[in-house]
Amino acid sequence: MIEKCIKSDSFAFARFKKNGELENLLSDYQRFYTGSEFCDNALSPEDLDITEYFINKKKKVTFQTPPVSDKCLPMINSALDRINSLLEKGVLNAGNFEITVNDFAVLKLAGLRKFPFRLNAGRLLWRNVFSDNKGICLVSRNEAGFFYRLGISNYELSYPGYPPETNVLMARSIFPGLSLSFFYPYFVLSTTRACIMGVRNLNPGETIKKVNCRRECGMGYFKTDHPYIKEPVYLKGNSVFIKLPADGKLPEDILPGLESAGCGRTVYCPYL
Amino acid sequence: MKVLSCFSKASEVELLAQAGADEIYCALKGLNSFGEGGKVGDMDELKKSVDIAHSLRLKVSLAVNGVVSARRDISEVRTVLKDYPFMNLLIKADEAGIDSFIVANPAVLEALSNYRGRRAKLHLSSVQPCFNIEAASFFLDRFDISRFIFSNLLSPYEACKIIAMCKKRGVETEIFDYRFFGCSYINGKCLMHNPQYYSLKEGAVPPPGVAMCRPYASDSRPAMPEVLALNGVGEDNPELISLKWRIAETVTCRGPYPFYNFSSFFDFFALGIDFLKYGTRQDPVCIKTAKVRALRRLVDLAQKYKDSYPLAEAKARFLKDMEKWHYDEEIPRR
Repeated sequence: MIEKCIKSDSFAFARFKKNGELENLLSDYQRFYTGSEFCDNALSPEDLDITEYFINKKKKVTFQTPPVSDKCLPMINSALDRINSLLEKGVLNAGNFEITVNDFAVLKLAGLRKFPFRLNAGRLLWRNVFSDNKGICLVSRNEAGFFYRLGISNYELSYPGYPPETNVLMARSIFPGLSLSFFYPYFVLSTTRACIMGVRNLNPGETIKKVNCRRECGMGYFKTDHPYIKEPVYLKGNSVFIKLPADGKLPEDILPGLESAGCGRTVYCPYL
Repeated sequence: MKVLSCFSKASEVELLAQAGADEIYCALKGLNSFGEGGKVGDMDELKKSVDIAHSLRLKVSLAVNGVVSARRDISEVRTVLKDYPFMNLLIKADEAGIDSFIVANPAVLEALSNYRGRRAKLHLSSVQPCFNIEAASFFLDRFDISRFIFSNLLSPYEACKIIAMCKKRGVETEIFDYRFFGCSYINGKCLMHNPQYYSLKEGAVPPPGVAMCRPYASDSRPAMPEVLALNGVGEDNPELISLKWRIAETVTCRGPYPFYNFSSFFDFFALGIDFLKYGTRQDPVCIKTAKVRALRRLVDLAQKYKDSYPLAEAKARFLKDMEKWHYDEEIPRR
């Protein structure tokens, strides 16, 4: 049975609240993805407040973490401490909670705390394990084995627009629990630390010190045209996406195909 | 700081050494690496290249730095999942005398670290970018890594803790030359060049050498983006308008602004980075040698000023000289 999930980072959460959608979403979706997936400047204590909101509503939660710079490591540590405290107080049920990692630092720091809940490899790490050459293909035992020993068996990917052929079900005999989560309807094409919104051109002779983020991405996200790509291109913060035809709901008839591909979840991301 | 150059054929090795390369590296057909162009054709050519390089006292690295260890078709692994299938080729490359492997995938690092007969060292590729000290130590603690290659998306200020850790552990450090490596998206995590995920416009074929991430579509007016889920500001907000222009230019013309320039190069140089790399393997040899000469001059200039003046003055003098540098004056056109 495929679990129905929705991404609710701080950008999306604010809009859900503004549009009065939260109550409906709480009944429509089983799991909420909070945190920040691609940008460490977008991660803030507010993401932990949102995480706690969904935990208090007795929903399953996946807290997403982005690639991080040294500047963001204290924020990651403080987030992990707060999660640990919720666990110790019994507020957080380990069976319903997960952390997604997109940086080996978070994998290391979460591993050191020996959390009892699951870790996932995020949309910036899955390509360490799968080849996307005609299907989504786990290429050898070594890749999955490396991440499996670190507690990772679930991989997050953008949905490619059709149920892909994979060898995930076959590999479950070696790696029990191996699964994929497909994010839709936006497919992430690329991401950068040289933020499209925040990083300006340098003067000659000036060295960049850090990404001087002023949270410009909070103003909205953008749809534009690429000189060579037929589909419209979408930009949010430091990442570039294209949109699949499916909007809001994947057709029911593709769900068996997704299950055959080893998909355990679909994650709706209305705000990229 | 030493100069490191890519090569594609045994016949290029001596010319690169004459141009000023202190080390060289290549990729090999049959092994997954970042980018498919300009690979050395086979193991015999690799062995020949290594022999020439060693006779010239140059070390040779082999890039096996695909993010995933192998680009395999699902039909090859639909029913049976084996161990990493290309270990025998890596062992042959090791036996051919290469001095180091450049690796991105953790499973390949693990396989090579566990291979007891290995004599070549391991370099951590920038295709597995570490943007913080904990990620860097994740790899340095686990694997026998002798060189750390920085992503071009980390400023010298952000990199200094990793540099200090590498120095303490005796791990060498390497950066790319800012002039000849222009992608500002995270290498290895970018699918923008993979048309299986989008459709190309009919008749709009990118000219050779033009990347999807930096299309340089000078003949077309940048398309102004439409803002969606507008939040907290009006459409006429000056900051929003300026942001729209920046996005239009990014997508249509230039890609994101780069982190690296000649100022950041000098700061990395002053922090004691060991190697400066150039790596467009598909460049013809005349461009490869011109670029190596340009790297050599850059390093020699920085060293000359660093040896003669206090650091701030050395940097000021270096920047003044480099402001006059023009690509076209030093590098021949293809």
